[in-house]
Amino acid sequence: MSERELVLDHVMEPGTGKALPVHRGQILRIEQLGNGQCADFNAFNLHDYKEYFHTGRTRHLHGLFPAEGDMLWSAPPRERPMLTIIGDTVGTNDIQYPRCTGFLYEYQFGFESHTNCHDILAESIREYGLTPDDVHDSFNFWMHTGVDDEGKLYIKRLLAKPGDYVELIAHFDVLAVPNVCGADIFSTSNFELKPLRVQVFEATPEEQERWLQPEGRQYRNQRTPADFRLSEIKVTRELARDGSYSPEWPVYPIVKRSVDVPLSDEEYGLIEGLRANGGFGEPDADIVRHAFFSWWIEEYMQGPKHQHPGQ
Amino acid sequence: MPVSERTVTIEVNQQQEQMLDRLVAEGKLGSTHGEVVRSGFVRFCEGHPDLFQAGAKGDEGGRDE
Repeated sequence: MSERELVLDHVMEPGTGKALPVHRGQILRIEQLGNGQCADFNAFNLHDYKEYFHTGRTRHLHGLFPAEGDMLWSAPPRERPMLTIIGDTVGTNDIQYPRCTGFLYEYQFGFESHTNCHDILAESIREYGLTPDDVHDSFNFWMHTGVDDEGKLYIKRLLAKPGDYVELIAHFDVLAVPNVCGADIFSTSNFELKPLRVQVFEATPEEQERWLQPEGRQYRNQRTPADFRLSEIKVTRELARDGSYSPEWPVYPIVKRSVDVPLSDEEYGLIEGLRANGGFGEPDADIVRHAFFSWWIEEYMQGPKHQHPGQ
Repeated sequence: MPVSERTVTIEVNQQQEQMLDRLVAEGKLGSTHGEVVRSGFVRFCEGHPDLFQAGAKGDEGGRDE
């Protein structure tokens, strides 16, 4: 196994963050120096900041608590894997909670000024000309969260110890922005702010071979500005209607057609069984449609299936 | 093809029709949209005998994610 080449080594003190380019094939490592510190994280395409990390698509494809082997995806309509988590010594990460903000601490506790991830991230990306409006929902490394029986989120004590780390390989050039989470009055970081070490390495050929996704788009619907009808970024903040606008919907109109489904008496009896189950609708047609498409999802859908089979 | 005693009519849109076209083209489930839907429906039921057990009650049903 080859040795990695160190490109950058930096310690983020409490109250700070760091925007750092991580090029395709490089590895970002974030390491615990103290006893349990959450790192919030933003990421942008280094060559087009309008492509940025998206908690929603990542949550959809990898679940509520992504860990080693899972990818961080960019927002629709780009929807490309930006980075893959290739190392995670703890395995508790969160993408439910949004970054903490100045508003949150004022609203909940009355602080006029308090360390918060939004402002730290904003100050970090200012180094690259981005504004507080460009901060987006964060990936929260090590944040130890759960969902209770009523569907409500909760935060548990952070488990990481000194020396624990996460490592991510970049699939294209990104501006990675970790920060020391500013939440010292939640259990997010065990009620104490601690420094974090960030390093960037060149991945070894073996690591690149194992982890790197192909460059460029793999699907036609991973879109780029070249696909946009309006690809220029607005430079004014005022919104004004375009009088020449005429909608061109991607698929319109939606037209329905009837399909006659022949069933034997025995097969027809299955409809009654599903009706009794209660999870498939009431009319015969609703039940047949629901069961058929459920089967189709099970057989043909790629990726995690969120279909609930009736009960 | 079963002896057809009953017919249930469902509505599909043009996108769903494309999917049915692909299934027909595969040739494994039937030669018409209706036969394909029938086959998928039956296979789903065969794959989930638990749904038909007494007392098996659904909640809000499938979430079409």
